[in-house]
Amino acid sequence: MARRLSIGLALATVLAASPILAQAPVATEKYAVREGFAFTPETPPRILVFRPEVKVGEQTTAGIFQNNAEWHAAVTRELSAALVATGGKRGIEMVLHDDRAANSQLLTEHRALFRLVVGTIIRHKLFGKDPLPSKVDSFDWSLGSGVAKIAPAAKADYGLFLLSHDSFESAGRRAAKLVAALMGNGDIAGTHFGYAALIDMKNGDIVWLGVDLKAGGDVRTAEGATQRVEQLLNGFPVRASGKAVAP
Amino acid sequence: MAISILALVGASVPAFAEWKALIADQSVNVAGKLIFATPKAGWNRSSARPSDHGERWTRDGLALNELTFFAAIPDGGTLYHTPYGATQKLPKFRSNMLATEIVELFENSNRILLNSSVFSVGAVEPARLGKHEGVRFAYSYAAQDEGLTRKGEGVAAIVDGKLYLVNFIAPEIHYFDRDIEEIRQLVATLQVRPSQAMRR
Repeated sequence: MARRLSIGLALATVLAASPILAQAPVATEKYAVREGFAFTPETPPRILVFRPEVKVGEQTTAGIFQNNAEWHAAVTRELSAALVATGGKRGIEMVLHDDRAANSQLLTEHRALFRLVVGTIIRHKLFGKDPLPSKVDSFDWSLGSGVAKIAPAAKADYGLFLLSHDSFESAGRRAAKLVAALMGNGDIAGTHFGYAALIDMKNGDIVWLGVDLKAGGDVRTAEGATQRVEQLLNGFPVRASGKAVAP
Repeated sequence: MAISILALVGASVPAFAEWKALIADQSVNVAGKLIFATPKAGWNRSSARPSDHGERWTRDGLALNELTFFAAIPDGGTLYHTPYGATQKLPKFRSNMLATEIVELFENSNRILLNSSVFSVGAVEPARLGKHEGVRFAYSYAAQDEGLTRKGEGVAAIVDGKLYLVNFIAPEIHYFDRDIEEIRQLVATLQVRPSQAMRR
């Protein structure tokens, strides 16, 4: 019986900035779906959207990252709105999580575990050079049943976690890059990556994960945030068919 | 939140590891044939060793569960390779160490390895490593920049003057509790083979 694990490799590839790697297209978007996962076709799933975890700032001429609080507020707001709107377009009820109503310590701890688990999946399953043989045919990571205690009042079937990291180049850095380019030297562009995951709120199982290591869209704007969310939700399970398939 | 793409894909980890799957319920030689253990399903063995006397396994990834075997560490030996850039020397095992001193050896070695002082040892009690009398110790620590607590449990015994130690560590949430009983069973049923150490 063919396994139903679904791991997608987006067609979007980029040429690495380094001249050495320029000949080799590098896949930067991937997703995975838990084996056998499907939304219940009868009733629309209720998904709790946790506040996006955002890191945004400026890369100085010296290459140092500096947080920007104003951008942080804008990105958090725009990504949250984009997630809810995108869910609506897909016939899925997405509701924003009210941090004030949650067990905040439990949520903080599970956010930390979530980052750790996704980092592990990226390294050992999706992108890294040291895959785990026991995971070749499976995608079965979990945050554990403790997630059910985070926001029981929300009565959500699933939780959606999203992380976004954007480093924009300062004017000084862009000028320095221009000078470097004129002198024939390459440079590394600003960093933009993110991931999103759908968690079963009963048992903590990660049922879908989308990762984009070279994301697009200026997430400080509504339009850019929508573009980012659409990219990250590539391969998000489709409810209409009752099966977890790529769009 | 300290995250980078390099960290995500593991590119910043200098020791590239190749992993091999272990067969469930089939006994395997561990750490140079000095330990014979029987894993349950889902474990992977790393080619990157923590020291000349050690071997690492994981089920879901080292950050989520790490099972380390140390076998036949001789008098004057250390648990781990000295980490790059470490300013302190790793403590050395002495064959006349008491059980509490072995726990201190483990604790101090890991403080240096983790570069952290937030390392707390809990219950210490008699236990068996296979058929050998030893000591079991529980501990926890908060990893810097990660925002979560890891729990660990080790069982150690001195056999023929050499140190044998099995250590399991995992995030406190979900992963530690899920596997610790399985690990205790593995530790209780493994075989220490000091005769193999004599041939070294």
